Amino acid sequence: MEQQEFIFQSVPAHEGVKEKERESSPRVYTVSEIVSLAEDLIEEAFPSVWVVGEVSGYRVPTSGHQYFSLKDENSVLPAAIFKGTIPGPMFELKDGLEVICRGTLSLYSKKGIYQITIDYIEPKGLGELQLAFEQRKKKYAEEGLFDPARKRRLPFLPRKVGIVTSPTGAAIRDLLNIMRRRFPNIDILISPARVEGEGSASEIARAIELLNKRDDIDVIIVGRGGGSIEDLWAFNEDEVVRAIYNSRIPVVSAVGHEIDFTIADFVADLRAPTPSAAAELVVPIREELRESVKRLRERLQDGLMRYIKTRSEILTDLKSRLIPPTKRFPDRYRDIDNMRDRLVYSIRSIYKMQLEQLGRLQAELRHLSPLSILSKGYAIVTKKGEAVPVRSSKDLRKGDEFEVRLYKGRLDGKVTKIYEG
Amino acid sequence: MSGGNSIKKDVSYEEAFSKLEEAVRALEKGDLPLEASIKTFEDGMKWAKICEAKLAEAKGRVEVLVKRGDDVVVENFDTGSSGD
Repeated sequence: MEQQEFIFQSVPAHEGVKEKERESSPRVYTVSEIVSLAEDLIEEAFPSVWVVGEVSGYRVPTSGHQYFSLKDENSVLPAAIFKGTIPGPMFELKDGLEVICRGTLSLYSKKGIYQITIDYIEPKGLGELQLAFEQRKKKYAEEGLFDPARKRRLPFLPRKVGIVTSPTGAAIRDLLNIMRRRFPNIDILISPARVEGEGSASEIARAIELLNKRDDIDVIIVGRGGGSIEDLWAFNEDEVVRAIYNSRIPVVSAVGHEIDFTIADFVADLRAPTPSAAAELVVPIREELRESVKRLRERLQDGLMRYIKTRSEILTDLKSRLIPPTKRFPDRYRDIDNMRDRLVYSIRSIYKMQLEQLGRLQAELRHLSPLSILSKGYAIVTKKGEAVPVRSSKDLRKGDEFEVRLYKGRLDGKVTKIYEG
Repeated sequence: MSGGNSIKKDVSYEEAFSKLEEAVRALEKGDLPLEASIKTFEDGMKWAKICEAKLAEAKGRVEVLVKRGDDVVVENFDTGSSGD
């Protein structure tokens, strides 16, 4: 303020300079005086100018102001953007970028340099937002946020669809109408957010996070209706990009019209060209599903019927081949009959022979059995209570009781005397 | 995981539908023994039923998250003006 007052006061003095020069005694200025005069001249001559040039020596000290030079082949003009003087989204300045800017030329009296203080800047050729978009897209791509391997498949039939958009906007009507037309009983949960203007990016990000805290949402549609690049800008903001990237639930972006692209489209699992298209991508047509289940059910029934039919045909065929052999081969059958007769005869004669042999063997056996020996007058002596026959007089002692088996009947006895054999 | 011997309720529509398709294909091939064929048919019919149940499961609710102080609650969303 002080400086301005000084400048103001110095204007008449400036006019007086010429007079005094003519009077041949030169006026001696203080540094402050001359710098102020120069500043005054410059600011008066260039209150607001547009300058095109290349950014060079770009730097941002901790103050947050941005300093650089604008240059062309021959000249350099120092430039400054003071923090907070340029509203809205900013693209990234860097060396080599050609820019068009508007500002005031001023003199920085402490250093005696003049500079342009910029209040508007845009990249040459591209729109400012367009450039910011390209720069961010490149940055996120390099960071791997758009990696195709991260893209998840959408659920075939979501239990519940989450929608992040303005509850009063154009998109919600289209989304609801189309989804409910396709699947009348679809469940939908709207997580509301303003989709343009200051703070909308935070609201969108938070709305996505809220849906992620639930366990009933199978897919999220994030979007809004069409608008200018400024209107859609929230979908290029870091908060939204990160929220989509971090979403546990698959996200479909549905921002603006078919021609509009935002960073959200690249980071989402699927980009829908419009909100209406998103509704179609997310929700199947119920009648079509019913129809295909019905068709499969019919095929099951037909399949089983055909199976049974085929099997019974095979059975009929096999049965028809099971004609009694007498009908198919009468001669053979007679042969078999004869054979059987002969077999029976043979078996009978073998049986008879065996029977006779058995009789003979039995007779022989009888001959050899102890009983047949006993019939000849022999006897078996066993010690009382034992089964082993007594073979030697040494087997018994005087007074031992013994048993005598005869051909017919038994006798008990007692040893009275022993004669050694 | 092939074969339809484990029929659970908490499968997705998609899973149930692919089980149904599997059953149809197996049966149509016609090379299963009789008992397996009947079992495949029965399983397929069960999957078809589950598919149909899944399609009828949703309630057609349209709700909206609303901030109530520090809490976020679920309320019905007024779709009256949506034109349907």
